[in-house]
Amino acid sequence: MTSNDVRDILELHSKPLNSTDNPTPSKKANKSEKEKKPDGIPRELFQLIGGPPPIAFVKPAFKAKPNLRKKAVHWEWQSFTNQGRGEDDQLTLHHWVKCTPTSESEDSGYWFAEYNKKIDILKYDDEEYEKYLTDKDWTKEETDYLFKLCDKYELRFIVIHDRYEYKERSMEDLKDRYYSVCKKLLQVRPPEGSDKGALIAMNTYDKAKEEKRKKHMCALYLRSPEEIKEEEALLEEYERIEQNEKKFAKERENLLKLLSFQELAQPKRKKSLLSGPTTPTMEVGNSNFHTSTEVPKKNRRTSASSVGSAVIEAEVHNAPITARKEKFPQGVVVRSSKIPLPKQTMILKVQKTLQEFGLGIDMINYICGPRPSIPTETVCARWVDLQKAIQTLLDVKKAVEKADHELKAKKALLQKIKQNGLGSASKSANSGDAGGKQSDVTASVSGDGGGGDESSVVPTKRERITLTTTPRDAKRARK
Amino acid sequence: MATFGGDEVSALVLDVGSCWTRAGYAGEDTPKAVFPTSYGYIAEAETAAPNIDEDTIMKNVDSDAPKVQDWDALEKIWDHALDKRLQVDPTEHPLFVTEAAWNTREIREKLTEIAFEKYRVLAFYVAKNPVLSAFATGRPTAVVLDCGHSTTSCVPVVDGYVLKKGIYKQPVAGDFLSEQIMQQFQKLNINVEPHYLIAKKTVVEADQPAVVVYRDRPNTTESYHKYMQMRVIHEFKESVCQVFESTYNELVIAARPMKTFEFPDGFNTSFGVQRFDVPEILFNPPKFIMQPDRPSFDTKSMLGVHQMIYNSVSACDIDVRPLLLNNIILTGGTTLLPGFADRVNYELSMMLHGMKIKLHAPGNTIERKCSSWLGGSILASLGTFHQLWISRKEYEDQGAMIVEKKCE
Ligand SMILES: Nc1ncnc2c1ncn2[C@@H]1O[C@H](COP(=O)(O)OP(=O)(O)OP(=O)(O)O)[C@@H](O)[C@H]1O
Ligand SMILES: [Mg+2]
Repeated sequence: MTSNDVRDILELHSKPLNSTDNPTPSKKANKSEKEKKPDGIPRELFQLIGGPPPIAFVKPAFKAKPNLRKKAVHWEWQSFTNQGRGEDDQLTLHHWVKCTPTSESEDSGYWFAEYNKKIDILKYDDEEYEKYLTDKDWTKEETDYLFKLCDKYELRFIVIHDRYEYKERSMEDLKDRYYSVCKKLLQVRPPEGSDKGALIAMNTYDKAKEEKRKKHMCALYLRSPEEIKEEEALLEEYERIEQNEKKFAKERENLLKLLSFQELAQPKRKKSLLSGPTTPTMEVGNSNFHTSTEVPKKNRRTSASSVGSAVIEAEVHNAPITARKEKFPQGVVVRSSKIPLPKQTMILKVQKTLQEFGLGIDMINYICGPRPSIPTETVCARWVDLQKAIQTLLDVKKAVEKADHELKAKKALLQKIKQNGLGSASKSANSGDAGGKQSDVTASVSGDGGGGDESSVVPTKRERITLTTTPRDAKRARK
Repeated sequence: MATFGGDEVSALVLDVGSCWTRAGYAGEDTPKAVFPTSYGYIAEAETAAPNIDEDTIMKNVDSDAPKVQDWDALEKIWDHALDKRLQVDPTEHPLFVTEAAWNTREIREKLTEIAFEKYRVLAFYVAKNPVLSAFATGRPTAVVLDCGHSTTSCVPVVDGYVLKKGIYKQPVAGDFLSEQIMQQFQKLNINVEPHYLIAKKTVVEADQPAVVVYRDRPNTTESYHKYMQMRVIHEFKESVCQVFESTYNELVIAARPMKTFEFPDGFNTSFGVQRFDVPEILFNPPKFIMQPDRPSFDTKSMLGVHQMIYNSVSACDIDVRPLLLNNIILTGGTTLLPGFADRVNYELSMMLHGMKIKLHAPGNTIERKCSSWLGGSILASLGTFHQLWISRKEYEDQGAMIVEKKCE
């Protein structure tokens, strides 16, 4: 009997466990009990001043007094039998039972008996054994013994193997035998109402595979510290290589993207040059066209025709793709605010380059970077292109510098190796290996150029290209 | 009540260890009675003496030793527990007793017989110590290192079943340590005079000979004197000795603070390296055991406790090893030596690289000393357990052999 039960008998509701039947007073009593009263303050006063101010006004409540007048809950020392035990076994034990009207009426047997679960092990008879289950390695007697243990230990094969005394057998032998017998039995007499295939699959056991797995596990268990260290080092190395590879692949992709962007951008730019200058007024009309849905249909048509079909056509054919895709937010916006910012890390450099062209000086805005002074649609488009071109230029420049640097380092290394000649065989083999690996890496960095030496030439060409285009853009933008 | 699966039927739980016997009611968290597993008797009468005193012959009941079974003595202990301490009528209660994991069938059957024939208990059950220790910490699967008084054992438990092939045990535990300390004292010329001989002592400076007035006890038996001496030594062991946390290193240990111990006669001295030496036996027996006076004691084959755990785990299937290593339970009084758990952890991690090792050593002293009683108390108060009792009827139908069938 726990103290809880005693409390229960005496009707002392001071544990929250029992608070359901008598909720409010006991809870409050608990609470006020927790706040410790400092010495020297009368209880009544402390009730008024103590603790945090109440959220709502609560009538001061003191610990509930035990109700001594009420009759105590009746507990009875009752005998019970457990139907979970064998049928003819009449072990009668006693326990304390709380006598509530409900518990007396229910006579469903011992509460815990339902937990007496046993798993069902398949059974076979002599005839079945002779017909299907014979095995040159197993006698019927031993199979019976195995099945008895399986039943006793509920298929805990680790325990079964531990207690197996018939003959020296590995756990895999036991499992293999058990599952093959079950599989066979399921095949010859499938139980009704269940999925035979699934059952058979559940009873399939691949002994060879298990043995192999166990062998590997054992090897893993018995590793020496050196082996573990080596393994860890190898794993680290592997991770490093993988990461490097990823890094290089990414860099290369970036470069390719940059370059292909350049190629794509060139013809587009030519096209956009052809398109006539679009005026801010048209833009307003355009945005109206998009936003004002309440304009009557007829009216809209007329307004469209008033702008002129030629203009619309020009817009359809010649306007830069960016302009077409442009989405207009509702209300008035400053077009220049739609110019995308260069990358955070590049912002200053881009700005500097622009200043070299004498652009955006008057409008330097340290928050959103330089802006064109007359941000018409075309100018803005050009400005964006220019910004992108500058960024590309800077990226390429950086890549070239890096490749150059690496090339130099590799060359120095090569020199060193050559000088060392065939010093110590193992060492040179090692470093040669490393060199090979690294030269691969350089190739992938300068993938666009092909060879190391060429790579330094190609980007300069591109630089020139970008440089030749940029001033022209710049003029446009300034206008 | 049903919510936590408990249903108390006022079962009695009895755990007779080689040093202490614990008895109490199932469902409680500490045994009602804990008393030494020893009794005295008067030579001529060969009956148990009402009081243990100087002219009784002390007898220690070793319930675990498989051969030297002194059933009369065990019955006396049961008598004392049930009659004098718990003061119950055993016919009204189910009785739950603990046993060593390696107990033979004969011992188990004899236990059952005594319970039903002599005590006429309502129902009976006997369960293995390590399983109960594992239950006491709430684990069905664990490897239990029990370093108690007479035996140190390491037993793997899977799903509540002892794996017999993984049982390792050896007679190096608390009692052996105390004996070794006794030898150490003899070497140091320290004479251990038990309390009963001291009439009056005076405070003396450290390392000065005792100034003491002795009582005159001419009829004291030798066994009683030894018993009282061992008490002093146990006290010394429990308050002074310590296990070094990593590999034994005399230089580092010498730098550790000394500890002073005052013997019953007032003589007091400080111990430095010595207080680490004796517990070191548990980890490196061949090197640290001083030749014991016990015959047939093969020092060479003794293992360190960490080695026992390792062997025990390695004897199990590879699939459960990680689980076992994650649930290493330390129990028994001797594991309370300061630094014991740290050392086991250190040694195991040196042996098992790259495996996750987790030790569970209850911080509560009572839990550590009485873990098997506690496990029994928990088990015997579970509603689902009551179908496992051996009932009187079952015993009458099938005889004592039923214990092998029902108590796994
Ligand atoms: N704080 C402590 N420090 C060191 N040793 C201790 C401490 N407390 C108890 N012991 C020792 O532990 C031993 C008793 O342990 P325990 O009670 O677990 O043994 P037992 O269960 O009676 O014996 P066993 O399990 O071997 O049959 C005694 O030798 C005692 O000296
Ligand atoms: Mg014990």
